[in-house]
Parts: sequence; structure tokens; C-alpha cells
Amino acid sequence: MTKTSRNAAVTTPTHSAETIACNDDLLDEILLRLPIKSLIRFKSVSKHWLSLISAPKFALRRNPNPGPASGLFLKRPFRPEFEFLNLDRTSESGATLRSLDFAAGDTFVGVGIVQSCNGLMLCSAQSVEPGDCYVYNPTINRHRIIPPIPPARSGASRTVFGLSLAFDPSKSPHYSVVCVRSCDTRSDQYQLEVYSSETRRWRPSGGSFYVDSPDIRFDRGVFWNGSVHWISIWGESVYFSVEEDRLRPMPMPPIPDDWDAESEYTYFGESGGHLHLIDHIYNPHTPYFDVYELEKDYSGWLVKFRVDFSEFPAEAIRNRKSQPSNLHLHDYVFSLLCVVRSELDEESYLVLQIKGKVIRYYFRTRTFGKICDVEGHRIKEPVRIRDSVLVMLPELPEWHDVHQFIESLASV
Amino acid sequence: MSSSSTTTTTTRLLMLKASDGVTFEVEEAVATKLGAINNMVEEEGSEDLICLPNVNGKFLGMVLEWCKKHANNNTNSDKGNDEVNKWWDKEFVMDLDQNTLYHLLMAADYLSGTELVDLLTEKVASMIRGKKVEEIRETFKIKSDFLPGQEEEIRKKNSWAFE
Repeated sequence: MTKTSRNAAVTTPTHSAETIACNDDLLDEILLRLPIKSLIRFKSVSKHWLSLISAPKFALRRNPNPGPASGLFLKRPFRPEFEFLNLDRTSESGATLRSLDFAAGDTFVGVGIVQSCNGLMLCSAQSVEPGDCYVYNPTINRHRIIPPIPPARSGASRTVFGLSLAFDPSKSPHYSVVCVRSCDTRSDQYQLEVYSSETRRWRPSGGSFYVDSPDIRFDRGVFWNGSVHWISIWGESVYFSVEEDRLRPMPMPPIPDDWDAESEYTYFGESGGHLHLIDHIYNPHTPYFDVYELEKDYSGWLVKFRVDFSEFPAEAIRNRKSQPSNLHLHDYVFSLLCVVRSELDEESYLVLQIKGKVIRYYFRTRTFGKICDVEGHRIKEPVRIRDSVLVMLPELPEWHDVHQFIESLASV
Repeated sequence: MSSSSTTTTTTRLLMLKASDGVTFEVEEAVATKLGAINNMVEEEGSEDLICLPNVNGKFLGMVLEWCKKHANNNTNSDKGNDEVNKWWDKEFVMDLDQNTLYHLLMAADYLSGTELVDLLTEKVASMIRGKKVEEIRETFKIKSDFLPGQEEEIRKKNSWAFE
């Protein structure tokens, strides 16, 4: 490169930043590179910035693929408030959710989270009768009431067995709510209804169906790979592809011969585009357990990670009464909160409650990091909880009361 | 394709003229890293002077400097290029004052230098990410046009972001 002439005066216009701020394309590019927390704050700069940041297209570009959970919402049964466990070490994340106050006062137990799905949450009133159902985005603190399913023409009563949220922002800005209810005409059969945020309507999906499963949990659906999955230990497990509008059987790991009637899958959840299952907890003859991952083509489950408690510092996790030889999982006091997957296996970890603290355990490097202290049953700082309420964490909280917080600008 | 170069290489030189009359002689391979110039070369196919009435000489010079570095780095051995480019990009944006940065960004945008736009928008983002709302308004000369109460409403709804 040769500079042939450099004599002309270089004039510098004064308001270059102003010009940038008027160029929507450039401003969009800048805003896309900001953390969610800054974006939420900058909504109050001007109407122009508010409209750019709130645009569904912007949300789609900002979070094309949902990130890993940056926090967990924990809730005890019969308690209206949530605890927030911050998993993000940069502390850039946060959420307004303490209680779902948009529906407060409806019922004694209030509103609970049914399921968290890629940044959106399905919430419902925890009353005896199935109450209102909401889709909520805790990042932007916005909710929408999902209309009730139209009543049966025959007037037959309908039992709702479960509601699930299906949302994949990498495919579409719209979400679906999948409802499993009783069939109007045959009591031993189920019927699926699907609500779409695009049409804002419910529609029945397919005919009625039968699932040979005494214990299938339609109220604990997990969305992964474009489908909602419901598992059962003793019977058939199934999944519903929202896109294809089809229900299919799902393979499960074989049940060991020595499982007893108390057996239960301890963890079933999605993270970073992977579906995980942890079992063998309740009839263990080993000091370790495996984290299974389902193949994308449903050909089977593979053992992705193994967690061996005999490698943990004994004083942190072992039951005092346990004998040091021949240790089983029974001999350890712990509670599984969440499997968090990163793009790299080395950065994937398990959130685990042990004596006195909540920790993360990195599967590959087998290293630990403290997330927070838990005193008695109370989480101490840095978990932010309401000052006035003593929030209890059960020694082994029920896993369906732990929900991932994933940052998202998605509109509801 | 004919070449205006007197050397034995096939490198062709282009003449770029900025808004203030400053001209730059640049290798085609360097200048065509800019989408706008690439289009002009492909459409016109001539060796004429390319006039860029929307870019001033100072910033055109800086944009071309960046293009040249990247073109040079990329012709060297393939391994480690990304590292060299990254290191050089860091140096390039490190000491830019705000005014230069914004002008450069506009120039890069006008010339469709996608990679450079990415680099500069990243730099702007890193400068404003921790700022308060009032500081953003000050930087970009924005006046709040919310009705009374509207702004408070938005802040209240998103109070965690202001902590």
C-alpha cells in the first residue's frame, strides 16, 4: 500500500457516535454483543433502543442456541417463594423471579414452575383442580396466560395428566404447550392437545392412544431434540415430536435384575442439547452412579459420565455411621440438583448438594468447586433469598422442584 | 486478466480515492477484502480510480492498513495465523479513542468490511457493556423520549439488571 498523497486536510465530523446510534444495522450488531444484563438495562435508554432490544428477530439472533443454565430456581413444596442459585461465576446473570407474583393470591400454594425449557418456563397454579397455565420468561419478567383447553362437546369431564413446554429458539421463535389429558370416550386412553404460540390456539393432535405404563409421569415432561419425553420405569416410555405431530415409543436403559420396587429414576433432564438420565440410585451396590445420554437417533443410551463418591473427600459426603469398607451409594449424603453441559465435556458439571454446601463437580477433570454454603437447611450467601423468609432446602429436595434458569430475550 | 504491475507477480494495483482527495495505491488482493470494493472491481473490471466519496482519507487509510495486515498474515503459513491476527486486532483497537472508533466503524460498514465491522462492534460493546443508562445517553447523544412514568415502569420490571 502506498500513500500517494496525504496533503488534504482530514476533517472529522463531530457526532460520530450519534450517527452510529441512528444506524439500526450497526446498532443491532453492537447490541448483539452485549451481555443480557446490559441489554435489559439499556431498554430504558430510549423508545428506539427499547424497540430494537425487544424485537423478536433480535431475540432470535441474540440467543440462536440457548446457553447452559446460569442459575437454578429451587422451590420447596407448599412454599410460594423460590430460591435462586447463581451458577454463573462472572455474576453477569440474575433474575427477578422470587415468587410468581403475577398470579399471587389465587391459591394458598400459589403458582409453581412445571418445566423450564430453553429460557422459557411453564408455570401453573398448584391447586387441586388444574388451574391456569402460564408461559413466563424470567429474564425479561414477562408472562402470558395460556387459554384453557376447549371443553368436550359431549360434556365429559377431562383429567389433565400433564402439561409440557416445547421451545427451541434455534428453530422457531414460537413455542408449543403439549397437554396430555383423558380421552372423552375411553377412560383407559389418553388424548394429546397442542397449543401453539403462533396461532394462539389449542388443537387436538392425533387420535386417542394407550400407553402400557402404570407409572408414566406425564407431569414431568422433558423437551429435547424437538420432542417432549415422558419416562416410566416399569412400563413404556414415550416421546411426542411436536414438529411431526407424532407419538413414538422411547428406548430406556435395561432395568437391572436386582432393582426393587422402590427404584426410581433420580434425574431426568436436558442440558446443552443433551438428554440425561441418572438411575441406580435407590438400589446401589457400588459407590458410583452413571449419567446416561440418549443418542440423537434414539438408538440407545450411552454412559456419558461416571461419578464415583469414593473419590470424594470422605468427611464432605459420607454418612458418619457408614462402615469404611464396601461402601454403597446409601452411605453417602447428597442430592443431585442438575447436570449442566457445556460445549466442552471438560466444562460440563453436576450440581450437587452435600453436607453444608452446594458444589459443582466437573465430570471429566473430577474436580470440585463450591457454589454456596448451606447452613442447616438454609442457603447462605451468595444465594440471594428474601430476608424475611427462612427458606428451607430439604436434605434431598425433590428433583422436579429444581429448574434451570437460562437467559433468553424470547417474547412470550 | 491484464496486470498493471511491472513486477513478475500477477498482483494488480488499484487506486482508491477518499472523500478528501487522498489517494491510496493498494494491491487488489488487499482491497477486495472489502466487499464494496470487491463488487466494484467485479462489476467494472477496470483499472480506473475508485472514488469513495463517503470515506475520509484518515479512516480509509486505517481500514486499508487493517486489510493489508490480514492479507499478509493469511499468505504466510496457515498455522498460527488466527493467533497472529487476533493479537494484531487487539493492538489495532487497543488505543482507539471513541471518536476514531465510531468513524472507523462507519467506514468499515460503508466498505462492507465484515470482519473489521465485527472487530469494531465488539470493541464498542466492550466499552459500553458496564455503562449506566445515563452514560449511554451521553455517549450516543440520545434524549430519553419516554413519557413520565414509562421509564420507571421498565426499570421496576427489570430491577435486577440495575443492581
